[in-house]
Amino acid sequence: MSGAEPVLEMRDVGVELAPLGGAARRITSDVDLALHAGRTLALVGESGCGKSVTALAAMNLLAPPLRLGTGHILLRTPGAAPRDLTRLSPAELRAARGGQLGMIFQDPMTALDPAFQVGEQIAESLRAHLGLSRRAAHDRAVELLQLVGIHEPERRVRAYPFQLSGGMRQRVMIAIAVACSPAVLIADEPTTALDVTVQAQILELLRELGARLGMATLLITHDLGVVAENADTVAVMYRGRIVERASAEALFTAPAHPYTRGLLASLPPLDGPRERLRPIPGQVPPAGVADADCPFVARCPEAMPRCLAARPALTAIAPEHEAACFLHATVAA
Amino acid sequence: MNTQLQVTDLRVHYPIRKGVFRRQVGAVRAVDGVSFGIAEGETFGLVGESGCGKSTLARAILRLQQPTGGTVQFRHRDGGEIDVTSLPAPAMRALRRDIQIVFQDPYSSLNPRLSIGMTLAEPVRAIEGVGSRERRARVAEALAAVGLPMEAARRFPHEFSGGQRQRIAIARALITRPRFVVLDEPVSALDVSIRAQVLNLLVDMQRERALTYLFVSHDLSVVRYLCNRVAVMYLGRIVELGEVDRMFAAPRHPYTRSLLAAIPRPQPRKIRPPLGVVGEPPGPLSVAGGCAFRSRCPHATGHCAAEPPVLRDLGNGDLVACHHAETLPATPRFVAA
Repeated sequence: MSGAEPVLEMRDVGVELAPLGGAARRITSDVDLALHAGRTLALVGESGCGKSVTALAAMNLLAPPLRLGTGHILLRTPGAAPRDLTRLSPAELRAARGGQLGMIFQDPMTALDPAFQVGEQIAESLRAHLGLSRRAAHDRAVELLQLVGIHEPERRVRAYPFQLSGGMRQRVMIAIAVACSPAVLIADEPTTALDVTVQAQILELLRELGARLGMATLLITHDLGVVAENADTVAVMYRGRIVERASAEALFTAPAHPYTRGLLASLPPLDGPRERLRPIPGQVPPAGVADADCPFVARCPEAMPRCLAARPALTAIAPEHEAACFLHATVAA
Repeated sequence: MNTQLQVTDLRVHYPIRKGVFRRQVGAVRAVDGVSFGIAEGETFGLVGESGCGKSTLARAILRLQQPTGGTVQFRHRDGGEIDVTSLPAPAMRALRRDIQIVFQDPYSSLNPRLSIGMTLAEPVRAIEGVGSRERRARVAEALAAVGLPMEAARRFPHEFSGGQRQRIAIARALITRPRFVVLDEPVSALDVSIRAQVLNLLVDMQRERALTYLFVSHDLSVVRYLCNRVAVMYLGRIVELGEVDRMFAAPRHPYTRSLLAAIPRPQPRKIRPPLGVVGEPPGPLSVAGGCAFRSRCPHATGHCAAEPPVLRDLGNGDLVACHHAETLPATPRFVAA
């Protein structure tokens, strides 16, 4: 990990689900993440583990019934004092989002407005955050379409979303997200809705833009192949908590948490012999956190009595490698 | 080995109509002259990207979609062959006992207002006309086979997770004791850890019941794991067909090569070979003459525009539809960084 201070830092973030007239329930807890300039952090996990609400929390974009229960989100941009997104006024937050924080959502069909030309949707952000004139914003929108690899950008800038293919729509989403050269890019399952040959092209584009613009990227995905090829560091979430954090190299070569090992063993291999898969037993748990025991104890093949008695904390097991599991705590102790 | 299912020159065309008289001005060729055979006990994979016609083909084989042309020969229990495409309705209904399907989305394929017991008993009642006592026994047996408790029969779909629902959908497909099952993206909507459980279940069911599978998927790692042979589809046609290990080791069609190169692999610090494909599939409406893949193919020549390539045998039983299959450079490999 680089020595420089992270551009975006989430500290002890916990998200709550607070339905009207109901009791609040915690969805995530103790989430600490640090995004560094020019690097990609992948957040992986299965449905309901809390990865998408963590992405929303990173931009302080949670809407009722979701809300931030605990924690701070620190944004450090060059030439400015660090700011806590949880303490900004709505106007300051609006300026940060889209300006310093860009976001790409999973489904470009629902995230783009069907009633506006894509050029207007890109220009909107440029005019709001950079104060460009209508003319200048339009010209810049054309440049951005070119940047994200859309052919004939002068023509496409006037297209409506329905006139574009899924891959091109996702390129437009990326153009909007990077329009103001944000310091941080948050991509929530950016290629899940796309075909595999298109996915490869979009991920290539994100890697290239991340390097060229020096963005700190948070990549949310359930696809371990996408993680391996795109992430510098990885955080694995289970039941609302980070259970393992490591460099991509270490996570795939020496996975420490039984959940991470189980995920990797569940993947059908692309070469070599076809042995019977070793799935994680049981069901994917519903959203929500528990404090009394290890979140994974019910499905863990290596569970011990102490896993029921207390919850293991995320602790360092090697340089740049942390896991929340008593298997490793015993070694360290 | 006996052929369980033989598809010959199958076509599904949708008319395009224009003007006040709804005159037909053209056709979308969703499936355009597809032929292949599936051996008894085999798992045959059908892969391709969205819109390539793989699901339409699967539905046409089951006659959930009436084909425009071609035949589907099915080998009956008694050894006789029948053409599914021209079967009258009562005979087709009887045949549904032998030919079943599992759909992709277990949230929309189960009726939310029927208990699991009612959902499972329905095919036994409708197709086999079995009485209620035996139906209950069959439901219990089907639930046990897919690893669900007996008391699940009284519960409703919303009480189950996605993986459990897909087990129920598999139980429903297998309860009539079919010989041939179409699996249309059966694990695509499932989480990684649950996907592996369902894949193991499909393997077990096939071994215990001597099933023949047609496995439709866009996920090549799952196809490699489950299938014996694979057909790759592009815009309504098969572009390559062959034994799975051979195809993954040495794909012959440029499209198959780019599909395989595009799979994200869970191995960090590997350099991916060049994708060898640009852009996205054109819509099925914009297919002109010649090879349908030529607009994205780095190896396309004038020959590809002039004449559509036909599937041909390269000498080992594997089929490929490319004029340049013999002269393409060797397959690029993944290399360690």
